[in-house]
Amino acid sequence: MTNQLPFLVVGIPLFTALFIGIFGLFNKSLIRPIGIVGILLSTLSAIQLFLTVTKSNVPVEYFFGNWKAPIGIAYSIDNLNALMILMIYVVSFLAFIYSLNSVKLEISTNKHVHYYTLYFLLITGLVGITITGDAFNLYVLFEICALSGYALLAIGGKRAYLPTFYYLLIGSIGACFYLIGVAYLFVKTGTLNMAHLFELLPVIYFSKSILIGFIFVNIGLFIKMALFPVHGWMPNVYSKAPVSTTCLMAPLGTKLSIYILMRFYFDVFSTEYVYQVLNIQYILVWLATFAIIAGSLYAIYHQTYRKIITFIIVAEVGYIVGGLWIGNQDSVLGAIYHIVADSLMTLALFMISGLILFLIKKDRVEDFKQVFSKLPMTTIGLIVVFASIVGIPPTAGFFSKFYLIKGAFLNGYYHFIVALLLSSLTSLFIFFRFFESYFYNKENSDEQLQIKEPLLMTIPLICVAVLVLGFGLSFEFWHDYILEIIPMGLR
Amino acid sequence: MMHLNYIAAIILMMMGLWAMLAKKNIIKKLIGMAIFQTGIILFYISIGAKSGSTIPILDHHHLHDPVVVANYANPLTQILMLTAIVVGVATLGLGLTLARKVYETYNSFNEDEILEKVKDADD
Amino acid sequence: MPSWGSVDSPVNSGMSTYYIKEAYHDTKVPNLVTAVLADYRAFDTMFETCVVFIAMLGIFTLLKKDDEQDAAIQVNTVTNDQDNDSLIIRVAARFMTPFIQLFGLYVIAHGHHSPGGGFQGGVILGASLILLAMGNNMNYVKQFLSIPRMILLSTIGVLIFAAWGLVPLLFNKPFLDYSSWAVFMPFTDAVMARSHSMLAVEIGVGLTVMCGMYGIYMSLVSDGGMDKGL
Repeated sequence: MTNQLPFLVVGIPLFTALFIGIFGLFNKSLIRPIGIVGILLSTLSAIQLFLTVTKSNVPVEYFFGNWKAPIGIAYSIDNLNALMILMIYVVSFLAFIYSLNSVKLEISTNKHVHYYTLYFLLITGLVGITITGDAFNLYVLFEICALSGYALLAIGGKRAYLPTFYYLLIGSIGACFYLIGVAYLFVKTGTLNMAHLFELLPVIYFSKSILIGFIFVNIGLFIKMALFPVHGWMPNVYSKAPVSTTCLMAPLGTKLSIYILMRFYFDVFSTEYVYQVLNIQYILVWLATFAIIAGSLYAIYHQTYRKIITFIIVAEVGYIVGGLWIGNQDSVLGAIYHIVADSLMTLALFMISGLILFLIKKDRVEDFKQVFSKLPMTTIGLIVVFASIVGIPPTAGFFSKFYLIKGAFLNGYYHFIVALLLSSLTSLFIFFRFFESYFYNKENSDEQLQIKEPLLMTIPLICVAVLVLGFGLSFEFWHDYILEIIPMGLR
Repeated sequence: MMHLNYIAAIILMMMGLWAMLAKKNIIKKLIGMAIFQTGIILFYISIGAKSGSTIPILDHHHLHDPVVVANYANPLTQILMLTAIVVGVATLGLGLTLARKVYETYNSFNEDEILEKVKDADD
Repeated sequence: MPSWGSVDSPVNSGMSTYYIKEAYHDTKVPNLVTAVLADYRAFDTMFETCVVFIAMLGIFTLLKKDDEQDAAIQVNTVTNDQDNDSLIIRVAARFMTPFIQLFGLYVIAHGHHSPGGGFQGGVILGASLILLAMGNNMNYVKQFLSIPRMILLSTIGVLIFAAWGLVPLLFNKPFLDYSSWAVFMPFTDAVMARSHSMLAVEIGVGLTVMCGMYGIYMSLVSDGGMDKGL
């Protein structure tokens, strides 16, 4: 069974979606059991795959249809893939448990079947993106994620239609730019398999077509990951979509686009091409700096909790791509570690937004006094997550910031260090602004009754808070693990 | 003449991209998206063409002769574009649905009027 | 950039030469496009079928009216004058439909030897249903293809494709390795098993695409009410 694991992590959510689609039409009460069984089995497969990859030195390979690598479609799983797949499944598992309760509150009952079918197809697409080794298969799975994402986001009602429409237009531009980039690579090499491209590209490094292909792939992925100038679609969409959807899409969508960028930099265009032949890192690190500063400043400006956290995501994307472009062993390690840490933090932030919206019905900054007085579990989660965003040890956020700063210092990008510190300060400022509304507005303290928080929504939140702490405390293990991912050219 | 296919594909892509960004009517933006995707499809298919070749289906009567590669057009680009066409149709379908829902909510297809109404309703 | 129509550009002398030379020996299917689509890159095709399925499901879910809105609209809908008045169109549509469907089935089944395959045949079958719905009332088509049945059929189509590829897992072969089906099919060897499996898989694709096309048409035209025609 272990050599079928690469298929199982993609196949089990697909079959779960199909079975929910068939059996859920006849009997609505079958949806949740099938979903729970499906996500449990696939999470176990992901953990088993992670352990298998950790033990073996060579990447695990899987050939569909039993055709060898460039002829058929091949999967190749190394340390980076296995970590991403584990991250996807941990986030999906907790988000699914959370959604068992929140879907009842937001979505009308006769649409639950279709919602969960699309939910599991989205998970299939997300895992497929991380695990594939074929550039065109990546595009198809990208579109599966995108299309199911549009449908899941637009179910949210009147306020969600226009932002989702803009997301559709901009997301299609992004995916099509990626396709144009792959077309330029295909014109010069004739193959679509990533490992085969890696072998064929070094001969033609100085040709203009490869440069144009690189630029188009980059811009397409920048659009999908909401990097600063092209991030406009994200805040509106994630602040107006249903909570159950954003808990799954927000932590994973943008981070996986950054993962694809890393995969292209390390395993298609080799690090020699990106960091030495092209030598544009200086400009790109400035771009990342602007992304962090812009995200932090917008986060201070807004007054609604959901908009604030989407702009925090924009700033965090700046950390990760900045770390990637600095090109140092420490900064890339910090960047990869931060992908996982940030998806856990984003998951917790959106779960908290759901709890606040369902129980207190409003989420402006001045309503937070009710949060602190009535929702104890939410408050604990909020404190842990904000400690991690600011970067207080021993939470996960501290280690990633430390390694990013260390890497930037070693390569002389001092403006990046300034931006990181500025972002920590603004996160601290935002958090204290929430607290301030609690301390200074205590006139209405007669409604002190605590609202009962639904158990199915608080347990995942506490699990994520524990994971954020645990991920930081186990940093030694992850340090050695991630060090194997970084290619030799950057050490 | 030798690079006419690239020029044609790029002109189509640019026209589609301009329509998506500059037009105010949201249905025209969707049409621009369809033109943009058609440009990409044309690009891929034209790079697989071989002059003097026939369709990539082996002739019934000559199935056991050795195959001359230059006689058959490239099947790989056509297959990739089958997938891309289907994806384009699916995206266009979802886009039209969302446009219809936006019309139901704001009663207009013009982007400026819709954004005015959104600003009035927000905050 | 290579010039247009050049025979020895990297694209035309890369992976595709393997497909042109060896596809008939590996799969006994003369149509090279179908051979690569349904065998070498079958995984892509499975996800492409999922894309059609997701589009149909997403459009249906977005446009479907919730129950209380349904009740409000029932009062205003007049269903009687939706019948098409023109006798010629009604009779012509009903007369042409069997031939269109037969041609669609031919395109699916003959995809091995002529241009065709699952997607193309599925679209033709879907077009025949749309013709019936346009010529008559949509309720006419709903008598034999109701909405839950249509969603069920499209899910079953994707399930046929995915389950067909699941059987090789029993023999510890990779997913979608059709040669393992030779055990279940009498009188076929591994190569012919690939050819027959491609047909089975294309049937699944055709089923999903037919229901997908009709579902998209039905949802968009009736704006979720599912009870008016054109």
